[in-house]
Amino acid sequence: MKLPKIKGAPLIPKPLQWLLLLSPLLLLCAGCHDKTSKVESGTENESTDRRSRIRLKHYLVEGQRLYLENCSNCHQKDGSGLGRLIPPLKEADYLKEDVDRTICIVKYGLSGEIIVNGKDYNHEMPGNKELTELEIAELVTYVYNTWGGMSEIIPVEQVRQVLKQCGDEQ
Amino acid sequence: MKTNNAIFLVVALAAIISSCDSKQREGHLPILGNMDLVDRVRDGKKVIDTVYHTIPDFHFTDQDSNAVTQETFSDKIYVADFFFTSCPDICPAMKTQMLRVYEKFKDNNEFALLSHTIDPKRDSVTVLKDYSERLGVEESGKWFFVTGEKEKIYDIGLNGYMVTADESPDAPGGFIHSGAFILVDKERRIRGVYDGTKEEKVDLLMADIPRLMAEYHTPD
Repeated sequence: MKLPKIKGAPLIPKPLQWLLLLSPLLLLCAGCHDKTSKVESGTENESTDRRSRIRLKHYLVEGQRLYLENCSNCHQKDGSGLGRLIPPLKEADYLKEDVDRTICIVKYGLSGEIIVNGKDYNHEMPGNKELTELEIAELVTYVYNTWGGMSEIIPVEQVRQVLKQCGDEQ
Repeated sequence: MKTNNAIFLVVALAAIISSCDSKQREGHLPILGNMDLVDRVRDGKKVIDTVYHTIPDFHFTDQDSNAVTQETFSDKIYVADFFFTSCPDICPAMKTQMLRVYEKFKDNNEFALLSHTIDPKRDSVTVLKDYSERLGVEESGKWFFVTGEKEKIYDIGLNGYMVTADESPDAPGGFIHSGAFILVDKERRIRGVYDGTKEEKVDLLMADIPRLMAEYHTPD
């Protein structure tokens, strides 16, 4: 296997070549700076950041699996819903308004009329009683990160507390 | 050289697979169900005729309170299914797929859709009307949502369309039913059965409808 040669134009433009040459120097400086100022807290923050990013990713993967298994039949894979029968999740004001309410609905279902983006829906949604607190946290994290404009985890602790409340009401 | 061979093999394999597939998608659709051989007298001679399974006569009521019978489909091919409006599991998936079929063929006068409720006690004409409108089916006379006597619906499901439809306390929503879409020709014969919950199976149905239609428009 030979790499194809591009005649005429250099592979890397001139300004970039300079930057590449200088970059080790820049890195060194940045490293020095870190060492002299806040070594401990800096790396700690970084590793917490990294850990929470990995955790969010894990939630999203599991959440998507749970969504496809339990929700997409009705709400569709892309969250668009079905006519005026099944409300959308994508860009839905009803969803964005209240995370805790969503957590309760996932577990215990919903009946009666609701208004989503100005349209009325009145089709009973069954609950998902078999889902664990962790599974609901993953599922709701997926939904809100995909269609609710969120970019963080909805923690199990929150799910536990909310379910305790609406569980009493049921 | 090795890569060349591998590429050739892949191309050859793809060609073989696609040729099988296209073979399957050509010509007349099969006629499904049991058939009987019957002795008949034609032009003074005794001949043996093949009698195919057909959908028996029926009489139901649609979402606009109109009667729907075999006559409604006398010059149409149609797709039938069984559902109920409060169904929590497979029905929304089926209706999503049926809506695709509806959108594609709704302007064809020789085509119709027939959805039977298996919960006629709850699914009255009013409930069916609301359901169909919310689904986005505004015009009448194309997609019939029908209700009727429970026994008659279960009977035509089992003995006519050959699919399961029954009450079952253990099933989600209280009913057990097949998610099948059944393609029926103008002679009331079953020409195809498709899993109405799966997009790729419904793609096949949507390819088969024009093929069946062509049988009525091209001379043999």
